[in-house]
Amino acid sequence: MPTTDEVATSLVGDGSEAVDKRDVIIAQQAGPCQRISELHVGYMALHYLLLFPYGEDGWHPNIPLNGVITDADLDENHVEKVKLQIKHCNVTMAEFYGYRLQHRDTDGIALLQGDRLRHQYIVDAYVAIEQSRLKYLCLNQKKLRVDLYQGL
Amino acid sequence: MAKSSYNNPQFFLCCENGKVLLPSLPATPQELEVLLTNKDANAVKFRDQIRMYNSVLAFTSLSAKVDESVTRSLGPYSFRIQGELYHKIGSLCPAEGQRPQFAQLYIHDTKCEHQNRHAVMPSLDPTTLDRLLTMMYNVNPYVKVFKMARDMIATECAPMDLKLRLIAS
Repeated sequence: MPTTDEVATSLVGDGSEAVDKRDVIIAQQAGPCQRISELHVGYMALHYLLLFPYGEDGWHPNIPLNGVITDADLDENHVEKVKLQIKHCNVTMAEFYGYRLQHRDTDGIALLQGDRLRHQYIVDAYVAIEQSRLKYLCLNQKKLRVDLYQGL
Repeated sequence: MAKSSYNNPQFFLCCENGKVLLPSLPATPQELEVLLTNKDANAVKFRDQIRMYNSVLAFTSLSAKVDESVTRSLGPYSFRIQGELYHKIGSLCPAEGQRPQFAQLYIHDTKCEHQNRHAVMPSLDPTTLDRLLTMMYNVNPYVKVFKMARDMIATECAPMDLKLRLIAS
């Protein structure tokens, strides 16, 4: 469960210090609405307050898979080897939402009992997954060698 | 998955055979659990309007083209959208002469916070809404942060332009 200190800091000044570009900076004075990245840990918690009353953490790109030794524990060469052996070492967005939507006796009931709000959450999660897949295709055109397929 | 067969099915979506292990969701607060599970008229009505209750409390607004042709038809409820979907957040204070919305409801004119929220969605039950709001002030870290920002703005020596940064990970 995140605590208040972990979810936000308040800034006085222009707030231009080096920050993670996914951070959301909200100004006091009225300005245009800004979009929240679906990679933000509070993406779901900031909207679905009734499903995540404690502001539970959502998906972010650095959740390690169970049993994967994190980079900090290893020297560099070993990390490379481990990374080659397993295809990926972090939990993917699809795995995260798949996990969350299973019934578990140890979990709070709010998410699965959320009725219509849960429907909306599921659609939202699926869109987030699809959007990142599309973004991957968009950003990795070279790697996918799309020029080879053109005109087929 | 390769090893899965009709006679010997393997299930992967739940946790990839234990490869995915996330922290459990904490037990739902009592007030909310009652509303989500009870069978009395009040709780049933709450579940019927749960999306409205949520948007009165939410910090972000959801923008998407919702397909109304299926939301209002007979049969089980379905939520269908087309195109892109995104969550948006505005400033801490509303523009001059505008009503506070979403996150601003936690900051602006909070003496009338309950009335302000009620004005957004008049069809909601004020007692239920009050109870949910009190619960959020007690347990939700984001709500606490916005309350902190509100207190900072309210003090006499407040800086002119306070900024709040929500940390991404």
